[in-house]
Amino acid sequence: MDIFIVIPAYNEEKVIRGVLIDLRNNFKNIIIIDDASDDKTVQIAEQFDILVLRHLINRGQGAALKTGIMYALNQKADVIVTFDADSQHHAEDVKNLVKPIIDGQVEVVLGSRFLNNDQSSNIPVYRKIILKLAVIFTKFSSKLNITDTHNGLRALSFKAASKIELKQDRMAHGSEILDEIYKNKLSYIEVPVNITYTNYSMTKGGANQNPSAFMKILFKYLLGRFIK
Amino acid sequence: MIIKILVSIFVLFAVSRVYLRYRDGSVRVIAFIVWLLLWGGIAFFVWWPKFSDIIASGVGIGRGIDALVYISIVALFYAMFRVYIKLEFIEHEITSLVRNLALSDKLNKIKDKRDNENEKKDISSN
Repeated sequence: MDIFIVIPAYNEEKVIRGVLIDLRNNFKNIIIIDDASDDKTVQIAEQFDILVLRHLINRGQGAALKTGIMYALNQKADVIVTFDADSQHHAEDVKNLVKPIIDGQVEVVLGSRFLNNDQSSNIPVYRKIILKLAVIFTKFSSKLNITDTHNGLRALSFKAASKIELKQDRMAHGSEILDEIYKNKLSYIEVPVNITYTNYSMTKGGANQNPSAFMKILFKYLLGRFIK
Repeated sequence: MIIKILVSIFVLFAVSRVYLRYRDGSVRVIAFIVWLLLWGGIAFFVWWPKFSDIIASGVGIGRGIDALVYISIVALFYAMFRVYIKLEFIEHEITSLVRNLALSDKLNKIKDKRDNENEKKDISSN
């Protein structure tokens, strides 16, 4: 079974080394998609024996994710794992994440920070509120009943990854993936994962970051659906 | 009276720009005619505002100038929507260009490496 780890990265020079050391010990196929970082992200990533794809200009996390997924599909990956570069995810969670797909139970596995009880108490209040609202919103918009809608840690089977069509280049791809799961009737489950909140990761993270970022992403998402 | 002259001068300026665009081929005949009608209409209503009152009362709006403002706003919103769609389309085109460059760069390198290795093999087998 070929497992590919797809990591979109934009200006992550401070943490990318740690993320890669953590993953490199456990996985063979790792793809970094550098979304035109201004810092040393690429130089650091290239010190590892991994694949680095480079966007010439910044196109957003959704776009970078899609580039990585397309490459992995081209290499006939059996399982594609999406992983955030900001060091909030843990390599040991990936094994639990890919297991249901390897066992042939489901096509999509979504990481959830709320299934893990000790974990959910660590989540900052503002993020918790936004994430809970997102769960309610998702019930209506994507018709999926899940506990954590915006977790960057996911695993997709080859079949799921080839069916999911991402059109949102920026942050709204999180909801878009869920829409696509419903639309293509892909089987899915949630698996508990740990999220580490550091000062660093708090400055990233799209919609959770502040209210105006949240409104902007929501607007993009709704317009995207309207145009489609 | 001054406003009539000022608007007329601006209309002439705008029409001359449209004509230049048409002549160098960046505006098609249809678009050229639409722009001419639009600017001509503006000039017409500035000189003969009474006509807008007739149209306005026909559709149940009190003053002609109000009708013009309503129509303009609707037209502007529609134009904005068109521009927005166009922009989204261009953004997607740029993304797929950037993506294909990133992918073809890597896939070519892998192919080159393989070709080189095959060449070496050919040379050593000879």
